[in-house]
Amino acid sequence: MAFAPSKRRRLKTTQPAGLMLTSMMDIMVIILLFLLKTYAVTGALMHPSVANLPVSTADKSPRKTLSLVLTSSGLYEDVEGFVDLNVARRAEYRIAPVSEFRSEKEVTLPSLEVFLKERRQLESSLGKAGLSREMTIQAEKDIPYAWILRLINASSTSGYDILEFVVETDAGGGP
Amino acid sequence: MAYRPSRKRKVVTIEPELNITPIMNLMVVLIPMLLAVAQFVQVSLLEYQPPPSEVAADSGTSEEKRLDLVVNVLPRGYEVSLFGATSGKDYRFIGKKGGDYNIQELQDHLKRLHQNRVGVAIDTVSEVDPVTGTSYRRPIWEYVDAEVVSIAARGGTPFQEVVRVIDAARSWMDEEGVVHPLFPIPRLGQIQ
Repeated sequence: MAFAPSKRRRLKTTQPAGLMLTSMMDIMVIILLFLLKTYAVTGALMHPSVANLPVSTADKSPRKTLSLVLTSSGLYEDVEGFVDLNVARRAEYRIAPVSEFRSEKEVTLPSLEVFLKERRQLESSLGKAGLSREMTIQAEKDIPYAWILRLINASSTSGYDILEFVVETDAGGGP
Repeated sequence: MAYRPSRKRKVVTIEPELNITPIMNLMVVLIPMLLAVAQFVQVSLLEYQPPPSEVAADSGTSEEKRLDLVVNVLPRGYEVSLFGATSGKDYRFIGKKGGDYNIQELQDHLKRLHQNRVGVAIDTVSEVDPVTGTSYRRPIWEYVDAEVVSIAARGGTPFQEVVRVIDAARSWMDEEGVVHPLFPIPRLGQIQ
């Protein structure tokens, strides 16, 4: 004769409900590998402040120097997050308006020369040894060439005679 | 009399699971940090040094041989000349091709000029880079301006077109990826 079933309460094995992290881990690993590939030490130093930089085969690494931004709306001092600023906020950092670039009377940029002179005075007051000669320029690729020459002229007469134009790297290497 | 306990004991097997929470914590820290420093647009610097003042530039002796390589970016194409020539064998006009500047032909022509007219360096001298402060060997050429190219364009020319000419004149890369310098020092000017 078969035993009667136990009347005691059946023991329930309770397992803690764990979150399934495996699929999330897979995604994380892929993102991590992608970001490690695009990781660059110089990335923190130089973020493009204009969207359409000229394309070039130049391969010199970006460095932190006095940085200016030349767009179709004028010349600006480059600041952190410039690309995200709205028109009103950008105006606070404007060095020279477009009218100065279009002016037929001047061959240089008086506003830029004043700005660079103040910059020199600031360097002197801070006791900086040796005057800096380098300047980084981020100019849009469609900017008229005459504006670039005017900027070069004004900078070099103010003592900034090593100019570095930020360009988007052309990986092809061809002309 | 009590019933005998059942022999059909159920064995509950729990599969051991790897504790990935610490790795997840690490990922959560690493990913925002790498996002902040990631470069989605690769940028580099195109260096340009304006020429010294006219007085300093003319201080050289009259015996120095000059190449005077000029590339003019005209609306119809490129104009390349040596020794100030406006015609003859030292002058070449490279017209547009299909509405675009023929940059490849310009570079090929500059390669030929470098090979036939500049040749190889006759000596080297030690100099210090004004930017980095490191010393390097600067080649000495038959022509004192053998590394210089004067590039001129009209005021309304887009900046990109001038950058392309600077690139084409700077160097060229062979099929094995070796970079050969051409005329790496540009002098920018404007055609009135």
